[in-house]
This record gives sequence, structure tokens and C-alpha cells, in this order.
Amino acid sequence: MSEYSSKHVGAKGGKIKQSWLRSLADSDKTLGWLFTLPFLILWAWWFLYPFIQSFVRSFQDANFAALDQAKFIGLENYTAILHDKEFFRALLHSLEIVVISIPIQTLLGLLLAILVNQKLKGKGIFRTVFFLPYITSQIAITTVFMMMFKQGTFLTDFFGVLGFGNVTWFADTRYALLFVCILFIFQQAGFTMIVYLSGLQEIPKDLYEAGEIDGASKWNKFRYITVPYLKPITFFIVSVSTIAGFQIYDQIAAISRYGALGSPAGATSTVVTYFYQHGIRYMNIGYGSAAVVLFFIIIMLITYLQKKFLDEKE
Amino acid sequence: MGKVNKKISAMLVLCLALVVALTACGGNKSADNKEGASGEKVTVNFGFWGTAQDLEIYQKAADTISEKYPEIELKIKQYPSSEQFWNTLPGEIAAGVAPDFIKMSNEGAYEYINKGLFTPIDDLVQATGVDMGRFPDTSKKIWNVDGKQYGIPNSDMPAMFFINEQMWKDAGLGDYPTTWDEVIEAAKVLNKGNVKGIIVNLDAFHITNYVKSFGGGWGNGKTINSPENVKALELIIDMYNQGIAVTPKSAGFGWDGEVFANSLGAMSTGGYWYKGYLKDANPDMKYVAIPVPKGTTNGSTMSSDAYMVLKDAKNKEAALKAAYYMTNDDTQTAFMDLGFNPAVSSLSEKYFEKNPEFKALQPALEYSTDYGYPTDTKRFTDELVKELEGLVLGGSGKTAQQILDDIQSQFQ
Repeated sequence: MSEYSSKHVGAKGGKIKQSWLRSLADSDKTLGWLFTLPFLILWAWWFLYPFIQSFVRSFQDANFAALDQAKFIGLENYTAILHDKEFFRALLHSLEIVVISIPIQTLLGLLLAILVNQKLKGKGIFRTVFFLPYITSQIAITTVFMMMFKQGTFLTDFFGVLGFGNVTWFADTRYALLFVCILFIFQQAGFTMIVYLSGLQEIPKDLYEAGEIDGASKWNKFRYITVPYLKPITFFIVSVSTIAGFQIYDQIAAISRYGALGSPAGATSTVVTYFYQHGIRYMNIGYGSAAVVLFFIIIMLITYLQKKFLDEKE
Repeated sequence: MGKVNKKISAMLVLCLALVVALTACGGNKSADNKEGASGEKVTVNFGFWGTAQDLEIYQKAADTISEKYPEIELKIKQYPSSEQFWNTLPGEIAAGVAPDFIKMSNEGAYEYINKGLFTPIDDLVQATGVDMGRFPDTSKKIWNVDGKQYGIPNSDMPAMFFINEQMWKDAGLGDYPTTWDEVIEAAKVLNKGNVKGIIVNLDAFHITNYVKSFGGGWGNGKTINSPENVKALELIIDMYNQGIAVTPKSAGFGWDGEVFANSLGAMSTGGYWYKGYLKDANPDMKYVAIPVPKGTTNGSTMSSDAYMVLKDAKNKEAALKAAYYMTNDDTQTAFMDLGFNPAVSSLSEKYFEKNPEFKALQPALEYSTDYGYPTDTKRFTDELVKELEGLVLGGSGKTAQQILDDIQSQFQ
């Protein structure tokens, strides 16, 4: 029993007269709540309240220029969205981004983490360089990549040799989404590397030593020690990156500069751009809110499935 | 000691929570708005998106407004772009900090007027004694919807057709084109290596100019698939099929002006904004501005902007007075130097003296007309661009007729 809790018990015995403040301070649970209270208030104000508002708006025919004239229309917004093939096209693109990018960036991040975890000269520089894209403006990176992937540059010439069309990638409906995936992987790999690196440094060294004594190869040590130990981190990375992949917006906005969002020809439209177009650009905040609620449900469902899958594997 | 620390922690956390709660739930009353408090001055907020030069002109107007309207204090707020403005406006309206009046282009105004964002000014004009007679009827008409006036006109300028003069001369071409057939012939000659004969930006502004030159128009959504419009789109598609046209996007740029300034396209439809842009982007470039070539008739869009009072303006009369003040001779003359053709009739005559490079456009002032987009303007322009990109950049294989029929079906 800790010193703190023994005093608490003593107080219950009636030896010490308690003030309400003391009783608050003497409870670990209450103190914990108090410490989280500032965050909870901000969270409720900035996230919970707007979400509830969105949820209510999703049942309304509401134009943000005249919210006082909003009308309750039941499930009409949801029905319209579920009958809109553009929504499913956008959803498919969001899924494609996640399915293509997450495995690659997770593996790449792990490889980079293993690399910078070695006894290397200048590994601090490598760590910084690999992490830099994650903290750099997404618009800036997209602009640079747009210059690199213009028709006739070294990269498009190179990919042309590999069988891709020698075209401006972000202006071609065949490659524009792949271009978004490349941008996303490039940016997220640094984040994945840092998280994996922290995990690698937590693995007890004696496990590897024991493995060596038992004659385990490098691959076996990786397979049977590193990978299982990193499993919770992998789950965290996959969950967080999946949500980030679904929320991708800045890169697409930069590609669509001066044009319709999701350009070219809707090839880069996602659930987020769909919501933005309808809710903000077309001012139909009721319809946009319904798209947001559906989006929320989809993300919750996918996160739940990911957790279930990994837990079952456990 | 530990107990004391915990008490202090608990008190601090409670205080912090209270401060956070008070901050989050606090009101947003601005100290700047003296209206009603002292009865001395009314603060009017004006929002616009434009250049630093525009801001300088507006700031001067704000400094001198008290000479005409001593009861008004004018505050200027510049937004980085129209997109930024429309993104932040809902939040600003909800928070009660939206501008009282804004300057906006007729390219997107129809949608916002129909959706009730602006207030009609007819009664306000009567109440404030603002002289709308200073503006020609053609300008006022653009800002009149269903018999109600919504804007005080600021400038009007027809769309233009730009030609890289050096390329034209180097190619040994003679008179500048007046029809699209002549443009195509010239584009074939100008098409060399990386340089394309013509830049056709797949953007509603540019497409609308092609459409108008064939006597077509969108008819606020009623005539989207008219035979004239189909002909115009067929011309655009034909130019791509012949390999003489380029989109800014496939050239790796954002808009037509960038391709033109980089000498990667010899000709393009455009507007008066080319002047200011080319001055910075390629000061040595020599160019010619002529009216949009004829398809079957003279036709092009009229780009106009106006000052409009928002529905939620705190003091609408003061906002209208301030908006009207923006059209004073000094402010309008300063804008004329930047290439804007003032809507004030008495000043407009001097415009072509100050901007001789646009002299050829003078006749187009007579026949250029509003865009005529449907009420859901942005949805329409997005759909139009998407369909054309699908064809030109994605090879959808649709015909002009199919594209316009598909769009028409969504905007009955």
C-alpha cells in the first residue's frame, strides 16, 4: 500500500478532518479526471459539439448561407448519398489509397527504422532526413513532386521506360491516384520510422543474445523476436495511418489547384473531397454533414475490424 | 509535503479547467464595433481577395472615407483567395465577424445571390441617397437578379484573346485572327516542339467564351446542350485531336497565364488580369490582346465585379455607403492603372487611353454578356470541367453532345 493510499485509509478512519478539496486531492481517480478536464472541455467544445451539430444537420436540408431556414428532411440526405455513384467512386479511391499506401509505408518505415537503429556513422542525420517530409508542409512537398512528375522530366522518362506513359502524372486519369499514394507514402514513412524506432529500442537485448546462443539466424531473430514485439506498434501505425489515409486532402487540393477538386476528371476524389465539395463548396451543409457521419461510421468500422483481426491473431 | 503538493495540483487544475471553460464559452464581442456603444462611429468591415496593390488602394480609401462619411470607420480585410473567403465565411457568419460587404466577380455571384447570401440594395439606395446613375445600365443589369439590384458595379471588362507577338511574327503570320478557323490555321504553324499553338484551359470561364462565340450560352441552366454549345465544344475537342492545343494541367501548370508566360503556348483566351500577371512573370514578353475570335458570331463573356452587402451585415446602410465610396474617382482611377475598366461611365472613357494594349477590345464592350451559369454554379462548373477532363485527359470517348446532354440532365 502506498504512502498516499494509507493516508487515504487513515482519513476514512476519521482521524483527519477532511475538507472537500482534500477529499478531491486524496483520490487518485479524481485527480486523474481533474488533470484531463482541461483537455476534455476543449475536446467537447471543438470536436464533440461540432460533431453533434453535424449529426443533427445531416437530417436537414440546410444551406450555410441561410441556416435559419433549415428544414428537417429525415433520412433524405443519406438516401441521396447512397444513390450517388460519385460517393462510391470517392469511397473506392479512399480505400485504394489506404490499401496501396499503408502496407508499403509500414514496411518502408520498419526498414528505415532498422537501418537507423544500427551502429552507423551519421545515423542522426539519416533519422532527421527521413523524418523531415513528415513535418514539412504537404502543399510544398506536393508542389515539388508535381515539378518532378511533369512530362519530359527524368522521373517520367524513367517510368516511361518501365512501361508507364511518359505523361504528366497528376494530369492523367490513369496515374493521378497513384501519384497521391506516392506523396502519402513519402510523407508518412518518416512518421512510421520514428514510431518503429522507439519500439525497436524497447526490445530487451538479452532476447537477441539468447536467440544467438540457440543458433537463430538474423531472419529468425527478426521473425520471432522483433516482429512479435512490435505488434502493438504495428497496430498503432496501421490504425493511425489508415485514418490519415482516409483524411488525405491537402495533396489533392494542391493537384486540383484552379480546377475542380478531385481533378483530373474526379480521378483523385476521396470521401473527404466529396464532403468538402458538397458541404462547403456547394454550401449544402446538410448533405455534407450526412457524408461526414457516413465517413465517421466507415472509419470506426475499419478501425474495429483492424483491432479485431489483430486481437484474434494475438 | 506530498499532500500539500496534491492540494496545490488540484487547485491549479481546477483553475485551469475554469479558465479553459470560460475561454471556450466566452463571447466574441469585438471592441472595434462602437456602434450603439458611443453613438460616434459605425465600423464597417470590407472583405476582398486580390493583390497587395489592391489592398494599398483600398487602404487609402479607408483612410479618406471620413471626408465623405464622417460617421463611418472602414476596416479592410484581405483574404488570400476567393476559395479561402468562402471556406471561412460560414464560421465568420456564425461567430458574427463576417465582413459587412465584399467585392466579388459575376462569375460566381448568381449562385450566392440565389442562395440568399446578399441583401438587395434597392431600398438602401433610396435611404442613403447613393447615386446609381453614375453607372451604365449594362453594368447594373449584370447585378440585377429578378428585378432586384444586388451590387454596386466596380468594373467591367470583356474576355480577351492573347497572342504571343514575337512567336506570331517569327512564324511569318500576317493579320491577327478574327475567327476560330483562322486561329486553327495559325495554331498549326505555331505548333513547334514543346510549344503548342493554343492553350485551351479546361475551365468554365474559357469554355464559356468559346460557347458565346458560337452564339450559345448556358441560359442559367436551361440551354446547356444547345446546338451552339455543342458546336463550341466540338471545336475545342477538335483542336485537341489535331494536337495543336494544350491544357495548363498537362503542361504541369495551374492556369493558362502560366503556360503563356512560359512561352509554351502561343495563344490563349484570357482577361485583363494577364496584364498585371505578365508584368511580373515575364516582363519582356510582347503580346497582343484582341477580342475573342468569332465562331458564328461576335460573343464573349463580360467580367464584372461589384460591391455587395451581406445579408448579415450589422449596419446595412453604413455598409452600402462605404461600398459606394469605393467607386469614388480617386479609387477608380487607381484601379484603372492596374488594368481595371471602371464601371463609372465618366471614367471608363479614359480607360483605353491609359491601357492602349486593350484598345482593340473596345467594341467587345457592346456585345459581351454575363456568364449565365445555373443557380448551382459551382456544381455546374465542376461537372463541366470534370466531363471535359475525362475526355481530354482521360479518354472517356464521349462526344460533345453526350457530355452536354449528361450535364443538362442534372440541371433541369
